[in-house]
Amino acid sequence: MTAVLTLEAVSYHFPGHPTPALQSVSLSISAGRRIVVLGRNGAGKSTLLLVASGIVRPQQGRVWLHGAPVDYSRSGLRRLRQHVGLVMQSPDDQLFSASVWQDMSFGPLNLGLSAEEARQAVQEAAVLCDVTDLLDRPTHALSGGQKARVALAGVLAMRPQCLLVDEVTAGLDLWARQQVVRVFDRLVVAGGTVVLATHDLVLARRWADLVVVLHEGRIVAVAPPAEVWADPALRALIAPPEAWEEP
Amino acid sequence: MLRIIDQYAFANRLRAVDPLHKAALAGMTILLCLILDRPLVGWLALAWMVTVMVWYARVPLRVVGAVIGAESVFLALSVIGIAVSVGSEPPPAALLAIPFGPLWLSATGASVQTALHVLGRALGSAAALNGLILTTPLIDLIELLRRLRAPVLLIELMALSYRALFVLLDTLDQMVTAQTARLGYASWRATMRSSALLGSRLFIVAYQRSQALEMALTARGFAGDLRVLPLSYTVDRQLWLIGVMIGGSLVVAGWWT
Repeated sequence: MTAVLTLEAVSYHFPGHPTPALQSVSLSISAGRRIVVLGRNGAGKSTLLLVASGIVRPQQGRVWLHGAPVDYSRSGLRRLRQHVGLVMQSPDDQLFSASVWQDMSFGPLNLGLSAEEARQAVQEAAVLCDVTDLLDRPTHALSGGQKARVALAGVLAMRPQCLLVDEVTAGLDLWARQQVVRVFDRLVVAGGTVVLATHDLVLARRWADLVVVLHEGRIVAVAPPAEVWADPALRALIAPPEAWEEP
Repeated sequence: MLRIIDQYAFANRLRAVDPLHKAALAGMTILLCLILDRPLVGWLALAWMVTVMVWYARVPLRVVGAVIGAESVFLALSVIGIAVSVGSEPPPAALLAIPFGPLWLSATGASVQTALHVLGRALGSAAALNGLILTTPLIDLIELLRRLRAPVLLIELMALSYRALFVLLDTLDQMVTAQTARLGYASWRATMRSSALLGSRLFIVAYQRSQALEMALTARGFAGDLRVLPLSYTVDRQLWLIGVMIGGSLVVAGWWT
């Protein structure tokens, strides 16, 4: 399978922090995959997504997009954003506009789409994320689940091939979570890739086809869920024993 | 009150009507209240605006009453100074004279009339503005400013402030609840301490949110300006007719009274 995005020996150390957030991380993200990133708080999951999306430039190593190194110039980053979308952990951090319609149109217009093309992209993303009835609503009047779907739709309106999602299902009820996962599925069926950082073991087991385990800024495993679940040493790095007992 | 106004601005019958038309109606009413210097004009404008808000836009009377009532209190307190005068002896034609130590507080028919005139004029103008804000969400007003070619920086600041306001209000609510649950407001001393901590913590949260927002905008290709698609609106011909009736009646009241 062709890699959409490749991280090669990437390291990043936040200034003032005692330990690096990422240490020599290498990962290949292919098209059409459901990838879940697991690890404890501070393991480096969010930093991994920030580096992969070009928000943070690695201090060591390289990021490759479709086999070419990512160029951190304005045009290079625009090209990266055409292919790689990032959904933040808290939708309130992402939704900047007072209206859902206007917020969703922000990304497509930044990609240089015309007003008509942007309008179409917004409509398509709204259908994909089931938010068409929310388009004329104010963002502050949405529920948590609706905000999560609108935040997702705002990124999908840019039609990325690879979607990086940072714990967006945290705090959602089971119905809202199911709706979000359905959006991920539609994207994967259409040939896209979803990389989801989460603590939700049930979702990881049932939904992912590949699990990346991060520990103290290093990737310790990249394997199908069954293999990770069968390895007591890996399980111990992800969650305490009682978290693995299925209800 | 802010949340209530915002809620009805989104839920009223004139929500989808072009904000330019609603702003024109409010602007015309304010202008006529200011130009036509007759007592009846202000009170008539007030009556018209309450009718439009309640009957046509379907904003509940209690909401309109609460908003205008709050303004009336402030305005009434302000015009007391016009109605009441202080002197060493009451004027001969005083309607009311109250001794206050060696002084007299008095009001004449003319001073009360002037006070009511000013009050009516101010309330008529305020009601016109209320008619606009109770039927038009701020996003539509921002959109209107964009169409009127207001400076981009001003528009972006307004849009971000409006969004941040609600995010911070939610955060504030959560913090106050968390503090209250730990007896943060159980005494005067605790209230002072909790309020100070709340202020400083809210500042830090606002800063952190702004950083996260910047990151999220960058991830969506932010390149210096917040470009978004314009909103679309409807035209309400009946509102035009109502506008003509309001304008006509105010002009008649101004010239023939």
